[in-house]
Amino acid sequence: MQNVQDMLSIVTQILFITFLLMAFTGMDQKLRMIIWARGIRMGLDKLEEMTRESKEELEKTLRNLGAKNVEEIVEKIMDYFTISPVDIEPTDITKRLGHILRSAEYRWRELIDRALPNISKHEKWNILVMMEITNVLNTIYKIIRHYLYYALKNNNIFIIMQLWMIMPEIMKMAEGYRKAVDAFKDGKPIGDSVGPAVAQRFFMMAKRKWRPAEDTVAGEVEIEGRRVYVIKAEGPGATVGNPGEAVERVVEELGGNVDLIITVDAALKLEGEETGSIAEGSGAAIGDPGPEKIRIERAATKYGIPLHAIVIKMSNEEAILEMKKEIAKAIDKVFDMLKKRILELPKGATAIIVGIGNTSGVGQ
Amino acid sequence: MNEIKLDDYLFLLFSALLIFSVALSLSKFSKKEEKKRVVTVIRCEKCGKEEVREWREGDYIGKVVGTCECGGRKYIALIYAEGEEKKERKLLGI
Repeated sequence: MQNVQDMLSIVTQILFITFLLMAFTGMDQKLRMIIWARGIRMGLDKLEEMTRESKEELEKTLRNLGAKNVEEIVEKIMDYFTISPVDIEPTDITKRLGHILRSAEYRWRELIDRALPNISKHEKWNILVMMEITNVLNTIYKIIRHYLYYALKNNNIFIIMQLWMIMPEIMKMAEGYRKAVDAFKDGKPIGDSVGPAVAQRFFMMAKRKWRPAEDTVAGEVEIEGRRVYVIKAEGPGATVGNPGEAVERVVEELGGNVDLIITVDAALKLEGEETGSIAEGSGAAIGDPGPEKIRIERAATKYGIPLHAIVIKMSNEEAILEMKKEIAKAIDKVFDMLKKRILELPKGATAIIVGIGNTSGVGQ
Repeated sequence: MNEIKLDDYLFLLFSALLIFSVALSLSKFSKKEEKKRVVTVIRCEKCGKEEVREWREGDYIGKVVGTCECGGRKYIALIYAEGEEKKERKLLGI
């Protein structure tokens, strides 16, 4: 027993001296940095794997559709970037931003059109979204890798600490994107498709359908003496269309003679809020970077048309994954709410309903 | 005969805690994979009768899939994923 006690005492002394030395030489921080960097590296490996899987999935889909220069297309989109417009001169910034975003979109479409000239519009849209996801995953991976290498090179514990702290959120976001590839590949509705799905209910009753803007459809519906114009992206391919431009055109065609504009969209829920819960508000519910939203706001403001919004709450991840039951159940509720709202208008009134969001898996 | 002192017990306790915390930080919690199935809800436009089946390729909301017994159009009203929620193990219930 004496021997055991002596041994324990020696170990205690060694540990004490080690901790003391570590504390005074800064080795404890170095050790912490190594542990954090190891954690980040594990996440980074997972990110690399997700990017590779997404890339392989995209290549496989392109090959199955008959594309030949698959590697060349995928390599081009992997590192594709868009440059924000100058913001120290804000004049026409939304127009410039819209132009830049469309330039990027057209370039990607051009790549697909050249490789696969005979595929349907909806297949093209699904591939475009898969390309976007692959690009996003690759960008996330490269940015995290950059900061990790930069921090290790410069021995910067603060960058490592911040990276380590945000890694769980980054991983959750990346996992969401990775899983979304499967939903888009199959053309299933996603959480964000809730707006177009509500609009689709009105399209079932439409007397007339037309395209007021590229990849966007409109329908005219009569509800007990009230005229309703419904707008959504053209489905069932994965596109968001140009709802801002479409609203502007329809309002102009009607000479501003519109009594109400209601936008329906998916909205980010706050922690604690239930998925699929519905909220009403004012303004344009649309999550684009600005060019489409401003067109709806301008059209409504120009003619003094009340602009309202109905949103269906969900998390970021739920918005890009297959539509959950709670979100799907909200479609009928919002449809009933909208009908009730329309009937509150006097007979002969005109309203515009806009289903905002990605129309993946939703027709018209 | 020598007795084991309180210090020794404390040391053992401290060592055990240290080993536990290191193991905890290095270990990965096993997460239950979410079991999901995607279903298609077909509804009659006229009588509202509903039927639920597994999602099939080519299904999309709004697609007309046939005629109901009542003579109304049957269309795909909803497509959604349902299944078990992912169970995350929480440390100390936090």
